[in-house]
Amino acid sequence: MIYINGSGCISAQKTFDGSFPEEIIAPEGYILPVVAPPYKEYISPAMIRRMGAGVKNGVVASAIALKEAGSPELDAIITGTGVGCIKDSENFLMAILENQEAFLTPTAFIQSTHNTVGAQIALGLGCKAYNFSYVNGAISFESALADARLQLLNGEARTILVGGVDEKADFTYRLFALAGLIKTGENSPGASYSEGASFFVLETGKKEQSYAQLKDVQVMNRLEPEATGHGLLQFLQRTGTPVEAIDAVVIGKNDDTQFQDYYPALLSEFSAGIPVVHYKHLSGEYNTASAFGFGLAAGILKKQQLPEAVLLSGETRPGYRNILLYNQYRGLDHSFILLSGC
Amino acid sequence: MGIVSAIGLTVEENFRSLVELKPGISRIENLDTVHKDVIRVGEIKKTNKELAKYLNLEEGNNYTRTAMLGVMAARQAVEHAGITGTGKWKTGLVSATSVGGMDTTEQYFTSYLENEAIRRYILSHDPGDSTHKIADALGIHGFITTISTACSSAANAIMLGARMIASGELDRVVVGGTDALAKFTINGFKTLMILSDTENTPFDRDRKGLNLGEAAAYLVLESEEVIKAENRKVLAYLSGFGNANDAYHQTASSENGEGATLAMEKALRVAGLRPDAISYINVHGTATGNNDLSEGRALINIFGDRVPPFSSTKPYTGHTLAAAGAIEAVYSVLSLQHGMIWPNLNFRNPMPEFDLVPETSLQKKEVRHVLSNSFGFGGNCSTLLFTAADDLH
Amino acid sequence: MDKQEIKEKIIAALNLEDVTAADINDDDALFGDGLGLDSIDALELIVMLDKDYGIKLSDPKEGRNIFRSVNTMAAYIAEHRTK
Repeated sequence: MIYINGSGCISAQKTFDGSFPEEIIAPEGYILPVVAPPYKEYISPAMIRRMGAGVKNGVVASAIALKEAGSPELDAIITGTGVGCIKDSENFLMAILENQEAFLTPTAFIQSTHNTVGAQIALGLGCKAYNFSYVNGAISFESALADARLQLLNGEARTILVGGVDEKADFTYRLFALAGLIKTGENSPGASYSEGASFFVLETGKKEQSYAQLKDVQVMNRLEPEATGHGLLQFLQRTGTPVEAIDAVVIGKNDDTQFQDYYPALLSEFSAGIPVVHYKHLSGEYNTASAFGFGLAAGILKKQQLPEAVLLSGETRPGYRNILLYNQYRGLDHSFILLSGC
Repeated sequence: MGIVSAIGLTVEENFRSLVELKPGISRIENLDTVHKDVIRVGEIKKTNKELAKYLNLEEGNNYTRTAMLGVMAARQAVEHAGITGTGKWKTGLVSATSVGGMDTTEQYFTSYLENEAIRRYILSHDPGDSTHKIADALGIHGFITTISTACSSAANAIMLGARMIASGELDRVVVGGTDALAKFTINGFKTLMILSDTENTPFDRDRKGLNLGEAAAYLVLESEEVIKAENRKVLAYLSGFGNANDAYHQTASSENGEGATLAMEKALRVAGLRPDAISYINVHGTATGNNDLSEGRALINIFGDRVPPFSSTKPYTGHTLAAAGAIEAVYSVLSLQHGMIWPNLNFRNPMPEFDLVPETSLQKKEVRHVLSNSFGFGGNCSTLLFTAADDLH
Repeated sequence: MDKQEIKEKIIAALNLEDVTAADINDDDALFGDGLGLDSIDALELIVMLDKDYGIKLSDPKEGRNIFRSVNTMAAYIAEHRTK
């Protein structure tokens, strides 16, 4: 059994202090700004001065999750990120190109390595345990989950901090817009983007504050649009949970004009009227946005309440036993997650 | 196994270079950098055009150099293992990279705004891209992911693959890593003042730093069930592994080598072996002031005054960053297969801090268990333990 | 050598948001206990010496003495600057 015992989220919504979902911030523009937490309350000035947004958000989100879980000793820290510390990476690259490789300073380079978030969290906690970083587009967070699940079920670990984090960088996001990844107009290709960090404490022991159980997670590099229903059934079969026992489906649907044809086949496997939940209209799209969805689903199971603001279709139910999450990005990196109440 | 490095484009070529003591360190040719006359690198002497031609890539593709090297090595591994289709076995891919598509991004970054034709490369910047390309080239679908933990990346990829098989999630997995040379990393390491302007000399008193390298290597890990059913010839066993974090500093290792010590301890424990069972250690040995000191201390922590024969193969290939753990895994397996211990080239004087002298000549002796270390930025320390195929342990 | 200028450059180069030039005494230890700078900061300051004063250091260990305090920095820069 794997319990989600702590959750911390920094996003375009006021998630860090639990105001979300009662308080909803209507998204403006195509690159949603993050609602910043009071960083200085969590990080010393000596460390903050070197940190990029992703690292800061990751450190704060993990601190919130750890505190909620009762500050347990960690057996592992596993992070997922799609673009890593892209701002520092961009800064260093631009400095190289603009100064013809002269007058370069090390900080941006050091902070740009993809495992910086996980490393900084470990450094801050003095945690010498297993520390991996997954960097594979939209399944970066799910890869971290899969690794954590393996260790917790094998008895290799009892407490693991898992998270997903991504940050924006001005020039890179301009390039993404050029490449059709980020929306620039109502009918342009691309999705509304943002950034954020979501961290969770997963443990083998149930606690008073437990949100939900992580039952299973599966990732697939490719899946045809017509085959998502089949993929879902295969996934559910291995979890031993029948489709009828699923009380809500959380999909990572974004506002791109393309890549929307993966959802119908999947949704057709469920009974009509099942609540279908979406969240990217509030969190924005980024490689690890599915971690936001994960936190949202965990919250629904804990409170046994589905906020109207995230209901895409169907009717809310009196209670929720199991929630299925599905995400994909531009036809690649598909993932299924099953969460259950506890 | 499959490998491309500065000392060969196949396993056989790498093996011959190791045996003939032929390093692949030279001046950089494929990249234009202001530092070209002061650094030395382990460069693969093939241009991107040549690689693309070799791989038969279509016009208008968006393969980065990292991806091309990766596909080359991964294909070799799969062919070498005699795998013709994924068939009934649950097959996955775990790849590692730190450069990702940066080798290409840095070339086109300033031209993207005006030049529409090259924008397809924007999509190949992130690390996952090279992994996707390898998966597609090999026809693998399902569990595909990428690990990026700086210089320990590939060792960690191998570790995850092993655990996926041990748990039954996968029957077979292709694991390894790839990294191409790039101005980004060359300049990055230069700012840290740990690039040597001569050949790298690991564990030497007068070591001046590392030589960067580029490479890709992949291994095919299979479960007992697959081995039996397909009647496979096993090259070696991965019998132990461990990952730990130094949690000391963003780039420097702790002086007492704590993270390294923990990683080696874990590997021995997983394998159920005592330190005296180790025949050879392929150390991380980057020849930086900091790593070799820290790693040396860790070796003494584990082995006391009986440190087994050890060497760094980075004088041959350079430090290939995320691929290092994988190419050194290949060299560890070769060591087991052929009963050979590779020399630590360029060594002249031992470090004053302790009594550690690496092997300086090619040794031919029975090799039963090999420890391979890879330590990365962020204090990420990984150790793999390989055991001879005929070992009944 | 203008010490105010050096203090401001240190603050800018190292992103010391909450520190002002007035907070740094000429003789304060910059590394270790004083301002609490570390080895990465030393590398940043080496770049600053090159970029702003044309002084090139090849061995990072030389920095240890040069960057002991604002006073030692000022003296070194005055003597070696080429810009």
